Amino acid sequence: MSAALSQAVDEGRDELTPEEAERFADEQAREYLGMSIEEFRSRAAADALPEDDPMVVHIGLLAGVEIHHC
Amino acid sequence: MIPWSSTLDYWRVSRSTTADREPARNDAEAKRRLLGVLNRSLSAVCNEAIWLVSPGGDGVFTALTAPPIVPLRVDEEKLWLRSTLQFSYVDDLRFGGRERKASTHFYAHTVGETDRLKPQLYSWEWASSEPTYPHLHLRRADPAFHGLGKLHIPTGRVFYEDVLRFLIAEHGVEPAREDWQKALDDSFRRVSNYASWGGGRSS
Repeated sequence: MSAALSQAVDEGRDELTPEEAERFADEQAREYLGMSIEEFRSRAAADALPEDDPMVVHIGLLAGVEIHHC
Repeated sequence: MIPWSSTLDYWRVSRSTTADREPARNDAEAKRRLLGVLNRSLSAVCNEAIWLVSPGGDGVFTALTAPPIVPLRVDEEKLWLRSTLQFSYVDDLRFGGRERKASTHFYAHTVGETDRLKPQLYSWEWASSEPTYPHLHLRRADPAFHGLGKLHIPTGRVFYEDVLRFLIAEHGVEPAREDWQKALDDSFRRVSNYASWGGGRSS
């Protein structure tokens, strides 16, 4: 499991810190889409994210990124 | 397959009641209530995952599971489910603004045959992207289905409990607790109580 999530779970917290949230979003973008969360945001703004990957919508929701098409 | 009478009971019990009202005086209580409902539902199919909240900035939050992709047992095999909800805390106007609630903006519930969700079987989505109506992707990115997954099949609002019940009933996902049906009924009834739209189903 993601280090950011593991730490929160191990500490019995029900919410990530903003830093953990950003780290987790970045981990997810790298693991499933092969890009940083910054690149994900840039591609979202340019409407250049993969259209057929089910992870895009989840990472978009997680990062609060508006995706043009999914 | 779940008997039809059980399905009817599900909808019957899903009507809003005041019996299990759980007032939230602040955002922390609204969060506790949201996670309580989601975790009860999750426990119907898995004992090794939990729902958490992730702050997204600008007053927007995301609820997600840890691990993010939850294994669901089906005989000797598995299905995998990723669910993400985006929400914010708002005044619950039904109570004169004296109470708070988590108001869902968008959601995605994706079911796949591997722990990377590929091939993807179903993805129920409601997001800021086009189209903005809640929809279903069937078999996205599965070449055997010739572009079927690109279609945005309109749905009503699909709740997490709907997805879990569907997977148990139609895909043979093994429940993780004996009273899974009651757990999902209770959660759905509570969700219906607080949903501003799409939760008012009745028998």
